[in-house]
Amino acid sequence: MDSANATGILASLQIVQMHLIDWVWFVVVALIGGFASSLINNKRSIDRMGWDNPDPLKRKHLNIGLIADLVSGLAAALAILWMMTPQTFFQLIGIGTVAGYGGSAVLQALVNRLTIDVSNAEKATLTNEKTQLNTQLNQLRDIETEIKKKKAEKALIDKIVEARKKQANT
Amino acid sequence: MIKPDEILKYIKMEPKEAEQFASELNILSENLDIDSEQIKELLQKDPEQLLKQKYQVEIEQSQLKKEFNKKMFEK
Repeated sequence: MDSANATGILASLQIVQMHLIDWVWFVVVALIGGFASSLINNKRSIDRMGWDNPDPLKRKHLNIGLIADLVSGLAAALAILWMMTPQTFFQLIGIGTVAGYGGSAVLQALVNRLTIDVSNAEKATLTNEKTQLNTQLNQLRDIETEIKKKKAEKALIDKIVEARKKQANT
Repeated sequence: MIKPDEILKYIKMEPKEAEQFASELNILSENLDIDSEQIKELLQKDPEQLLKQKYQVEIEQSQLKKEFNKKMFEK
């Protein structure tokens, strides 16, 4: 590998050099991409924020789900930009939008998957605990029955002892 | 089912009393789910044996109660 090739590879690993205005545009379209993903993949933001709720107390002014979607879209867009450097302004807008939308969707899918995994693990733990509790309950019932039998046996013995005492007295 | 005649074999009492006693024992046997053979065995025992058995039953009952409490609070 000659030195020119090595320099090229190193240069491709660096983040893109752009003007500030290009960065602003990039961030804006990436956020739009994240927002689009938020609207399509998740429940409508209007519903999530409760803006259609007549009770003003039930309307939310800050929703971390939407913000997370926007930030994840932006983060994914930056990653794509690092890998696929645009040559024109329009390419930049296109890549930013697609990356924002796609990245947000990918990360949202990951979050959904994690939520399902946690939910399944909790379900398994609960089922296990329920089985253990049922076994314990059955054992307790068995012991309770035995105690009742012993109590009955004692009552019976008392009755016979009493009869025998009467017999001895007569 | 315990009959008055069976009681009279082991305990001396008036026939009317035996009838009454048999009826009481049968009610106990029915309500507390005790086998009539077990009652017959108890009738044959003398007072000392009966007291020993009662003591034994009390010990077993106490052990069962301890076991019950232990199981009740174990995780």
